[in-house]
Amino acid sequence: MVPFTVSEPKPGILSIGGDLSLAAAPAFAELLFSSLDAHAALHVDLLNVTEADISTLQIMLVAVREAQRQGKELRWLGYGLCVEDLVNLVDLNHDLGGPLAVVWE
Amino acid sequence: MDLATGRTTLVDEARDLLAGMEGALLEIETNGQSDERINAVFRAAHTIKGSAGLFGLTLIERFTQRLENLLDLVRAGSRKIDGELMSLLLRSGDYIARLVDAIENFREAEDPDPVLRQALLDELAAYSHITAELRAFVPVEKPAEKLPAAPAASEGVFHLSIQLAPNALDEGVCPDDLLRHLRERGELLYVLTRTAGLPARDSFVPQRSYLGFEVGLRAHTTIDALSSAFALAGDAVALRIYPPSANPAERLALLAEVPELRPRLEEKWRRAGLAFTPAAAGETETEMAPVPVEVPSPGAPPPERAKAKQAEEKRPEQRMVKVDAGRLDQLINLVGELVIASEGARTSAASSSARREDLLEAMGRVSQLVEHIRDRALNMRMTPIGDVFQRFPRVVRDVAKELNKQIDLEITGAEAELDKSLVERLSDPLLHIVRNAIDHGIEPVRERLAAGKPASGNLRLNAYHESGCIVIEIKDDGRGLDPVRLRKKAIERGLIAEDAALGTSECFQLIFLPGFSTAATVTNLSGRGVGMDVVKRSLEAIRGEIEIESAVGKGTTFRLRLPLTLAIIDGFHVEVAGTTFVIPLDLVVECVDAQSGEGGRRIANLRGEVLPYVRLREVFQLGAGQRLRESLVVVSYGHQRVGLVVDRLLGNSQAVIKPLGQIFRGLHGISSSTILGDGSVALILDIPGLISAANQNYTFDSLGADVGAREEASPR
Repeated sequence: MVPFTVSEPKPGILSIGGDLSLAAAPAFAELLFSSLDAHAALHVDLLNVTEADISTLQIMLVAVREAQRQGKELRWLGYGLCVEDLVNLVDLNHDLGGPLAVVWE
Repeated sequence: MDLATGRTTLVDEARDLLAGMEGALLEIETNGQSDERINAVFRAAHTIKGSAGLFGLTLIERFTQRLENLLDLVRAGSRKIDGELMSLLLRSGDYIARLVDAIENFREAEDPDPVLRQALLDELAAYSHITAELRAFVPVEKPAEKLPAAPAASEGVFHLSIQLAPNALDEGVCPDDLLRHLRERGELLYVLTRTAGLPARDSFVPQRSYLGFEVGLRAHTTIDALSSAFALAGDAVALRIYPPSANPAERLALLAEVPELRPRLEEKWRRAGLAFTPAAAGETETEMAPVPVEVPSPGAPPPERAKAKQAEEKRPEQRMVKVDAGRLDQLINLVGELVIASEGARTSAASSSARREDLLEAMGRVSQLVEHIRDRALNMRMTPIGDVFQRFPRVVRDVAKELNKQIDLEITGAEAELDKSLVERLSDPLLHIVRNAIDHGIEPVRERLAAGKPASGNLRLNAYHESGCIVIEIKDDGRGLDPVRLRKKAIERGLIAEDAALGTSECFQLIFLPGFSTAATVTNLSGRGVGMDVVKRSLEAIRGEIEIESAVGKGTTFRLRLPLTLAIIDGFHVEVAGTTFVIPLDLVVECVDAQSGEGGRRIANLRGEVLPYVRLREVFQLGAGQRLRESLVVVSYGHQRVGLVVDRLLGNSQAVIKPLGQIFRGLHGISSSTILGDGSVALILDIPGLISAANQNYTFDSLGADVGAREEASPR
């Protein structure tokens, strides 16, 4: 039982909600990496994330670098309030390259 | 009752209890422990705990439980409240207040400050010696590499280099909480994250910590105070602090450790006014570049504000007020009488033998009751200014401690009442004036003794009513303002011309010019930088004025004057050039028939007293007209009296105030408007505005001819 929810509204788009703090770290990392392996481009929507901490940011950073290494695209579609707060606090907007505003077709 | 319906009540009650608790604690601090005071503190904590329990608010309940345990020991006599315990109890109260704020903002499940909570719990446990199993609180000797720095607090930019041990996250260290905690100690200028330590995916272990932070904090504090924030993290955090006064060389050596951050770090240091290259290190670091400093992320709104905005949007409109039960009863009684009177009038009118006099009398009775009811209803919105004043003992105590000064605070006139809407808007400006008085006005003990003053500075808050306004005075017996120095400073800052001729009180008013004071100090109270210009603007927004009296070496008095807002006033109607103007009746002293003297004379002789006057025709440029017979209305404002020359006196009536639209905001002399019985519009005069405008435009000639002294009956 992981403390967060995942759905895949379209292939290559992950929508994650809930608690992504330390306890969820291994599962979150596993999810991101395996999804990255499975798609040529990955978009991750974090709008409904309710808890996040430094471990979350670390995993996001490693995922971004891994995507670069694999030559694939990884974009963050939305930040939940706690995520945004955290990213701003430690000034990592530039490193993470998000969030994008996306219009669904 | 569930939280959905009881939230507001719970929050209000808790705040009242906390205020009572703080009051009792401060009493203990100044006047000593007593059973009664200790009980008051205990009861407050106990009641809060009980209410919290009812609604399942475990965060508050559990914390208050611990507090109650300790207070129980104090009550039983096995603990005495010394300085440190007092400080702990006050801080615990502050923390509970934050939990209550969280409830108000629908965030009761979140702990606003887990680090602080743990610290407080540990301290409470230490005093309670609850169980041997609980880890005794031992202040960890921080491995902060202290550079040779002054032990006294310094003000400026501190750079902190924070490195996490690999097991930090596992150990429960929350770096983001630590950073937020720093944010409360001062202004967080920048946070740069060291990411070089992050491995590639294959070697990455998600629960390990690989990050570090380079943080810039503008604050007035010491290295010890900053390290203590990290004390509980123990060995999991390696901390290096570079205070503003230290030699830049060591800090610059950091650049070599973080090649990937180097350009950004140099830029942040440049903007913060710190030396950012070895060459620049030659200059003194205390010269701050006058560049507005950036808060963490460029382009993104400061997270604090974004969060607060969210909280505000979520909070339901606070439209409830507490009302004195006695006043409500009086109102209900009057309504009862009105029903009777109105019945009587109706019966009178319906009767076949109705006489005009009887009807007029009955209607007169109804009118009178309506007037009383109106007064009482409006009166219910009035609240004593003591509500605003009650924050001050604590604030003054804290600030005095922080600045190492002794202050005696006197509060008088706390019963003076003002409209509820003003109370909230007054609080911040008053706070800043008081802070200013303690900061700059009151001298340190040594200086006071040398000047032959008592060691303790005297700060007096006073409030009273005067001619339709509430006056609030903040009086100190400190250094006083020196008009010569103020003028000099204003010239230096390019705010006035070198040859500007200024009277003493105009020099005092210089402190309200934007840009007058140096980089506005960030206060812990409001968390924002504030200058006296902001204070003035806040007061002007509620149509208030601020006067300064001061004598060098003796002290300063700030006097705030606020019109009491009432939606209906008793007005005295006058006619000028066919237009009706209304003068607030409580400002009218008397009316006099005037035989006008020759033009150019602006001073009347009223029963031997000098009275400056203005012609409303001229003030409002309504044309010369025929000045055959005019009237003079004498109005008062504060200590001044002025005559207003009008064409005709019309009489009294009630005026329902209709505010003028935004485009009329700059109008001097007119405050609002009202609709007359015949549907036409009358303008309500703003007497203070009128008087000051008149003062500026007119120069008063010496005493001229007398004004005829045939008096008309007074309006009241």
